[in-house]
Amino acid sequence: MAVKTILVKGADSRDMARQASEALAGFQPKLMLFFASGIYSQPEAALKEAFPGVEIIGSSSHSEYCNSQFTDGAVSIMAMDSGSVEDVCVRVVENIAGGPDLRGVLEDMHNYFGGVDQVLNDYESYVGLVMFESGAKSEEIFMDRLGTVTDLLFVGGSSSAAEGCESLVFANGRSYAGAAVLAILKTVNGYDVLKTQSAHIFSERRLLVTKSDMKNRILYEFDGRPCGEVYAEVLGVPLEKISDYFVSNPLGVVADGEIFVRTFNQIQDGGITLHCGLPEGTEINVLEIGRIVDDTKKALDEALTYEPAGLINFNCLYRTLEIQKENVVTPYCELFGRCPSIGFSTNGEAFFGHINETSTILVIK
Amino acid sequence: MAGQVYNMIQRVITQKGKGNLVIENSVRTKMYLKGIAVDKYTAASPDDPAVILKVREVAKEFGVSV
Repeated sequence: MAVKTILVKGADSRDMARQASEALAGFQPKLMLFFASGIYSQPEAALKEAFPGVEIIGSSSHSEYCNSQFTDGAVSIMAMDSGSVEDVCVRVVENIAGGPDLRGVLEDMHNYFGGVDQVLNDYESYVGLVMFESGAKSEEIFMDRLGTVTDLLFVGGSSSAAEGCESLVFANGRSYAGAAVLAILKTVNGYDVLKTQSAHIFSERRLLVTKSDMKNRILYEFDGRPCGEVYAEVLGVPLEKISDYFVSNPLGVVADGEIFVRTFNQIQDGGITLHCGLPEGTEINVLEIGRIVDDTKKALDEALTYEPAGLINFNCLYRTLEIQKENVVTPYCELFGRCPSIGFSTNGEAFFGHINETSTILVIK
Repeated sequence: MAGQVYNMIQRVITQKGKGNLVIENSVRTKMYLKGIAVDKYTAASPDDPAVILKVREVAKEFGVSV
């Protein structure tokens, strides 16, 4: 078996790691990916001790998915052996809020595999994973720079945390705040990336972002007018009611038919704060949220015409809260029980850029 | 004059993609996310100096000349 997934609840991190070690006895992982509830202290160190010599990366999580299960207070783990991942290169970029130059680290990662040409000539084998510590709120700028310095596809998400717990990402047996963990996987049988957002275009009217504060994620104007006023006009609702529609009608950049969702946060400082900044010049559509289970099933059924080795689901926390509200957690999770899978409720997803209210899924073939 | 923006965008995509269709499509997507509505510009689109400047900056980021 090339991929194994386990969901562990332990008395503490050491107990969690012990249970993981027992469950994976006889299996030789090349890479382990884990999503851990913040109730576990230093899970990365406990796992590193239990699995010496294994590359281990992860993120803190608000709630965890594993196969057809959903829970919280647990650690969801995917272990990949050399039958699915031939090699992996992990690097950590700290202080991402400072806008680091990523050329050096990507050059180093490409060179690990023999250089950028080697990687890009075998595009079907190499894929990047990225996990952000979400407190830095710098994902969109980081993803823009990452996409500028590499043509390799990176997919992933931003850390979340259970109430009162710390948001962190993990690598090298250490935890990091304000950082991004990057991993390039050389897969044995290839990979696929899925993105499903259960959001559809509400209005064909495209709105031009004419004033925004990208860094602070504040949107001020569409088409030279206050953005709230234009948003209300598109929806056909009174201006004072627009915040009632922020969850059901987010914004989307539509790139050749592919929707990249940006969700609202709140009205602030004469503008509206978003969970992802929008650069001026961007054209957006107002969206409407659809049926998450139906849309996710459709996306998985269309893409998975084969038996995958494993799925990694970076599922927006908004979507988790929505399926809980709609009481459809079980049918949603059953969609992921078809093969070994793990996931967690993210504070933002990564696919070309930083996106919201989306599920980005890395499929290991 | 017209079509300069369109031509510049096409040059960025072609040079950066180097004949790889997957990479060309990803470059298009990245340009949308950088605030350039790629499909809006045709060979008949007016030469908007602000957009020309923006495409030039993006080209420079990508390390290609337009």
